[in-house]
Amino acid sequence: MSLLAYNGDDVSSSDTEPDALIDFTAMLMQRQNEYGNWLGCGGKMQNDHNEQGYHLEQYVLGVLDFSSQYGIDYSISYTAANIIGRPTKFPAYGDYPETFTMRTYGDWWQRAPSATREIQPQNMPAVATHDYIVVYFEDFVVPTEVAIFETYNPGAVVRIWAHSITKNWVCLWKASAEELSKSGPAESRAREARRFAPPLKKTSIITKTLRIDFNHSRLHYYTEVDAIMLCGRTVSLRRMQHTLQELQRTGPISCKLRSLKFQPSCRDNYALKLHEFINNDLSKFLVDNKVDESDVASATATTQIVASNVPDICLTDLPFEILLKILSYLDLKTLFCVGQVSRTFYDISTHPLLYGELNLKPYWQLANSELLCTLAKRATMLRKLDLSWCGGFGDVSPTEFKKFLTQRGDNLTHLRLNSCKFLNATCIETVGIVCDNLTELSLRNCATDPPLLNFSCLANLKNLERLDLFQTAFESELLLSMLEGNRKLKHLNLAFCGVSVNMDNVASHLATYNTQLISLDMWKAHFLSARGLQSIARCTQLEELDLGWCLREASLGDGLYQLLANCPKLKKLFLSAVRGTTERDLVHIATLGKNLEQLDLMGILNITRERIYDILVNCPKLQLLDLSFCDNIMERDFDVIAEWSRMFNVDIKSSHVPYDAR
Amino acid sequence: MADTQKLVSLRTCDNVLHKVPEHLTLQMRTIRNLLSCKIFSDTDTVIPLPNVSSQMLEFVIKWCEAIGPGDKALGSMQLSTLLTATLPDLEESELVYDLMKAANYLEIESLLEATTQHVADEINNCNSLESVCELFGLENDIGPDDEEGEWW
Repeated sequence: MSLLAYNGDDVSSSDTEPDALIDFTAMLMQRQNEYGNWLGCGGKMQNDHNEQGYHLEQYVLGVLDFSSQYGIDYSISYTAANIIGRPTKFPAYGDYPETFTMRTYGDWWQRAPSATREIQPQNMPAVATHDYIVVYFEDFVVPTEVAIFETYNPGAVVRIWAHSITKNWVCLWKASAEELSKSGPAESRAREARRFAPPLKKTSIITKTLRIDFNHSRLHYYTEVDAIMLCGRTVSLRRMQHTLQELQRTGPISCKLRSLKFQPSCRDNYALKLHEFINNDLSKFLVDNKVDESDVASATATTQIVASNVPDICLTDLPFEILLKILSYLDLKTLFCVGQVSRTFYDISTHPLLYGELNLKPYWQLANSELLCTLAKRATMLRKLDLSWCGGFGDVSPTEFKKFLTQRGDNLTHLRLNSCKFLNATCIETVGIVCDNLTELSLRNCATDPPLLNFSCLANLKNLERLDLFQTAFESELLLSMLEGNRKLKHLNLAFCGVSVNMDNVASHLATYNTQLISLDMWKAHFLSARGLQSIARCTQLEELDLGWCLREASLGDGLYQLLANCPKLKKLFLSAVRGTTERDLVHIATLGKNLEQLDLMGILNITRERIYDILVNCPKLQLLDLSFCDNIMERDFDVIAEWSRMFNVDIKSSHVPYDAR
Repeated sequence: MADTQKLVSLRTCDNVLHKVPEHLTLQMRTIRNLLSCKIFSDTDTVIPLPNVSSQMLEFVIKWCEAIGPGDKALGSMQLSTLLTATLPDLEESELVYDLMKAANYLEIESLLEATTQHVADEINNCNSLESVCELFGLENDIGPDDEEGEWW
């Protein structure tokens, strides 16, 4: 049914609020309309005389979505938009800002105080996806090759998906766990750019949209992608028309029948066709599908033999709570499968205790409104819900989501809705009204304009301990009132919140209302000054602070000193590109940063060898030190630094502009 | 080293008396609770275990020895591999179920987790409904009235 559900009109009719559709969804819809109404787009270079189509190689035309990027949207450095078009740097290898880079690398973020645990972890596949990007190309093709141009630290691509014209996602390639572990430790991999084009699954789908999944855990440093190329055979107008029409004509039953070899043609004159079928083709049908007497007999015979092999005790003799415990280890998909085995198993597998935690992120390509509806019936004791990445392209309707939340959301303690494109303002309001027991709310990658998080939509939440608004737009007043209301806040992520938020104000609110804060991420925030830094210093429980690319304008004064002096528990301190950091500040870090484990000093010009040595000697717990682009460090120093890295057992990153490019 | 360790007397359902070192029985919460009551703390008392057979008790003791008292909580995957390692003749499915019931009755957290994870893995390894039915000797009695379609 989800195959039929989406077309331009339906979305707006299912959601009759005035502010129903946000810009991003509108843009997606527009793309969808283009797919649906390609007839109206005016002959797109498809050659209808040539039924075979011709081989076409194309580069990315535009980016639909990405889970994270290193740069901020209005900049051209390290942003997702750099993946558009031809490669600009390939085959050169190096850390170039003209490429697409994601925010994280390795497992450093999992080791930080702000790390979270996956909800319903048994759902996660062997090779998990950390980040993704969705790109589209100009022309529809049947894909034969996808080439990804990696210009720095290759090896993070783990899956390639294609969005077929029939509105479902097909996985063209995925990395196996063995392949990943065979590739060896990061340091030993060759430092050269790579055109990565893995063998794709043989398919006849028609597509012009791809999604690439990345996994960073084995990366030494950031991975950077210069371009993506999609190669395939073009398709004639007639063939596309045919595929779409078949799609519209079929309902769920025909779709199921299609999976069998036999396909009845159900066009006109049903009665006659049926009569003919019964007279002529029925026996062949039965033979083809192996349902004849002897087979049935032998099938039951085998079951009987098996049954006699299994002695007195059987799985269903076990007490209920043990069976429940067994099923609690299964992932969601298997749980549904097991429910089909017998009535007993159906009753056990639908028990609410198995649905206390729900994570649909690994099934993002399958999740739709019907699934939500089904789960709503079972999940009466739901406490943790993760719908991240689901519902793009209209598979989940806002109405269904709100219904689900209203039914099952009042006991939720953890809610993750990262990159959920179906969200609109009323959805957020529903969260605010229904889910007042939330201790964790994660709304990453929701950068709509105007922001969905506005006015007092989440004012009812008073128990938050974790709030993650990475790459999300929100109104300042809302954030400030939430800080006031949630005194127990421990983890706050405001990375990429944009120019409209004054960080000094946020900092002074934190100092007044949220002194139990443990981790704070202000990556690329604006208007943070030395005064703001002094306010942050009042959160004495701080263990993690990310001030990357903040404080561009000001000098730090003694803000950093106060921070280090007042927050002795600090384990992770990121000062990437905080140019106001002076040599004295570095001395303070060495003297006061006794518990530091991760330190990022990228781009700080005042660093000298002596200061680095000081820090290495005086911070015994240091594990990560990023000295990339510290232009004051001479080339000859890098060998010494590598030696210190071994001596002190600290991972030191020292990426720099390639010397031939200076 | 000479052991002045206390031995606890356990009588299994087949009327066999087993003397088990106390530190092993402390892993079994049922017995631990009993022992904490003063009445049972003298060595003459015999604790009856009507739901456990001798064979099962031997397995359980082997398991408790393998785990050891002071270990931190092991992950369920490690426990599962430990299970197949220490008790290799457990390949026949019925022993696993008996062991599971014994672990449930004696409330041995680690053994229960290991056995249930083992069975869950077996289910996960099945590729189709039929193989699950076959594995556990069950009959599929669900009619075509399933209101939930196959979303996967």
